Amino acid sequence: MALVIYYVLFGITVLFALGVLFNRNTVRSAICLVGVMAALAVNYLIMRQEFVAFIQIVVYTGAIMVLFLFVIMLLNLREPEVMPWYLRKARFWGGALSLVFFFTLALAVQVWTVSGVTPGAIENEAFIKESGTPEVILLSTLMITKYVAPFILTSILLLVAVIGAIVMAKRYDEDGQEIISEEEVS
Amino acid sequence: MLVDFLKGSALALKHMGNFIIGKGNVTLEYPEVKREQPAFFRGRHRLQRYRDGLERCVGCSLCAAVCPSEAIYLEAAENTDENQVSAGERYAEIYQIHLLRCIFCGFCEEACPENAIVMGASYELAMNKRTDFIAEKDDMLDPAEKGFGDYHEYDPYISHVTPESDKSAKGDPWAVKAEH
Amino acid sequence: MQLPFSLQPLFDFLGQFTDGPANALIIVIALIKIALIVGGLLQIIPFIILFERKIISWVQDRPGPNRAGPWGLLHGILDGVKLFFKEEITPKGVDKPLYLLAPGLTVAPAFLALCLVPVGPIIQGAHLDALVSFLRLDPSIIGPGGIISEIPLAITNPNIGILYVLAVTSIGVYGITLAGWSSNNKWSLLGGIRASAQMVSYEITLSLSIIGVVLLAGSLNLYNIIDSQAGGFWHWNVMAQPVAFLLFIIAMFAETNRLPFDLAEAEPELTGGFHTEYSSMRFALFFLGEYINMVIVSAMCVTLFLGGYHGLFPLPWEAIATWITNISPSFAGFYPWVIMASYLIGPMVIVPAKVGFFIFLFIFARATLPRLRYDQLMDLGWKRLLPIGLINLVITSGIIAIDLMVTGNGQVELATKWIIGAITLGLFLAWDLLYYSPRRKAQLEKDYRLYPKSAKKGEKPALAS
Repeated sequence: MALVIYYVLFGITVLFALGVLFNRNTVRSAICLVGVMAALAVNYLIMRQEFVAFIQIVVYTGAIMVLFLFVIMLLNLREPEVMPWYLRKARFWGGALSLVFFFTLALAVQVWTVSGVTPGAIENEAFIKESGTPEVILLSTLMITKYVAPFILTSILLLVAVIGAIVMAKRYDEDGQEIISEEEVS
Repeated sequence: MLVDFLKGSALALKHMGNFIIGKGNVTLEYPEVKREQPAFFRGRHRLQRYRDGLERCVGCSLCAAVCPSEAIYLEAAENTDENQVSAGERYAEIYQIHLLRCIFCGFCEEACPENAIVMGASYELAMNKRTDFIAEKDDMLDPAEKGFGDYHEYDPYISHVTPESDKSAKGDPWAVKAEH
Repeated sequence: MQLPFSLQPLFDFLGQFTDGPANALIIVIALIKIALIVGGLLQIIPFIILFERKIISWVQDRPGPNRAGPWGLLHGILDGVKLFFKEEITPKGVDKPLYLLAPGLTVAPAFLALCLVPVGPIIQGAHLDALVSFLRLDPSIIGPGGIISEIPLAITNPNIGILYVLAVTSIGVYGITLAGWSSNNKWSLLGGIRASAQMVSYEITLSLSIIGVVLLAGSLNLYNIIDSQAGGFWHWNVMAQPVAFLLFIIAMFAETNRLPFDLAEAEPELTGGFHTEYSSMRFALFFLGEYINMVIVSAMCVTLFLGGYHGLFPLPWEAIATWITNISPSFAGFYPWVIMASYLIGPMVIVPAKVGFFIFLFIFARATLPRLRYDQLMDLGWKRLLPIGLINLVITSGIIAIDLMVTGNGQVELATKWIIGAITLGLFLAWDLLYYSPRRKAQLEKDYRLYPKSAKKGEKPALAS
């Protein structure tokens, strides 16, 4: 039963992913990406990772993709009539690169399953099952003890990105002085 | 900010509470209660009569001539001794008003020398068929019995004049016209 | 007391198709709960619409709809019937798949969020035992020691409850956005864009106000959150988190796109906003989604801040039941009925009353408050509510940390809750009074006044520059 659900889900995910690639309409493409995110969340649910699943929906489906759509709709992107040169080249190289990437990933998964090496998150699974502590508590404990350095580094990276975005969005004149538009003043 | 917010809400709550205890209702529940119209209201047309039942309209067609939207159609016929319909020599045999064309300007009642056609107080003009909107003479004529509604005389300022209020000033408007 | 026949053979029969009678029982219980809660809500929504129209007209000094049925009770139902029989118009140039998908995407998340609303306590222990023996089911399948050991009076009860609600409500924005985009109408598009930015902005406020409650309860599970507020209204989270409560109410107005935040369908500016091009049942689905969302955010507010299914004062139901039994031996049969009443008073009386209060608040705000301008909306969301929420969260978590370190029992004391409440509310009121001083208020009034106050009556005023 679970296997059937898994295969159906797999099919849906792949269909949505193909939809992202082959839809020329930007909004439909974005909606397909939403579908991929939601399908991944269901995947996590099947693996009994409720917290991760719903964080996935809250962050990716609920916030990031909404902003994607917002930007697409705000710029009113239409289907491109003539494909620019870099996209024509990108078709070949992109296809080749993704094939390489796919086989690398498949190889890695194969190595993992054969050698019994598991990534860090899974090694706590048995512990979660035994102790009966809600996974939220375990996750947060891990995050602020064992993985505190990556956590903080990621936060700093995001902060830098935000500040960088603001700096890039500001306009400057020739002397390097900030141009403040009239709308901002009023 | 919070205080201003609460102040505004309190006003709305006051109105709501007032309504619930039965104060401050401004709505007339129309089909059951009808609004009193002012004296100068120009509603559905009426054709008036004298007290003895004779029609006031003498079929002069002045109303049809003055009507800006050409909504009035009128055919006159002679009065005979056997068939005395109006107080004059002639009477309106066919008198139709197309209510969809009528713009209720009141020129007809202004033009009428006999005070026969007047704008009444009725504003319930909805019909089910387009043909129903052509008002025939019988639809507009006051009933032949005595005591049929208010006498209505055109006056640029006040239009509705009751017999009682009018008697002192202009004599008895319901009086039988003498000459026929 | 027992049923004259056993229900067990039925589940044994159903179990052949579902991998055992326990699974059949789980499915049947879930279906019953869904039928009761969803069905009940769908019946009530026409009356909520009628209630809304009535309240608004009362505020405006008029009697409101009173033609169909006594007190106009049939108006809501007749509206539904009318919408059902109207012609469905699909305008030219719409993006057909997305145009058809959008109404569904508004309603489906609303219903999904509905299945978490806890309307009553969990049936477990001796009471579950009594219920099972009344229905003559197998206690090894359902019962205190069985496979199904508890029946929560909510459709489901996952561990990450509140996260689920946040996730599902955040999907709801897609319906509005896609409806706006696919309609091939610029007003709809503007409505959709407004809705997407607005909802993402206010979701942050919503989450921030929830985190304080989660900290107080120490759990994301909705039943744990309600249990942490048991024991009378002085235990409720609104006492500990008054500022978060205010923020939640504001954010919940914005999340449901209701006035004063209904910029996505602002009638004077955007004709109908995102649903301009929709008619008949598709339009009705948008309406339905909006009202279900209203009920759900109200229910969440009740769950998080107003003690859920707990009444104003705690009633010792067991003691009352025993006391009634002790009055006279002829009253002994009342014991199970009193216990049943203790379970049913939540879904039948307390939760509807509390949710009804919030529905009234929604309607009353619609009748009272003017719509915000878009820049004011973003100002409010990002420059006022977000900092307030953050400061509230810092104070709350700090005091909770001190409390946990001092007592060390892993629970937040009642006095601590009150201290948090007093400090946050005091700071908020102080900020409010100081920031919006009479001088600043006069300045704001001057800035936002379209016509100068000096314009005389009957004279056409000049536009303020």
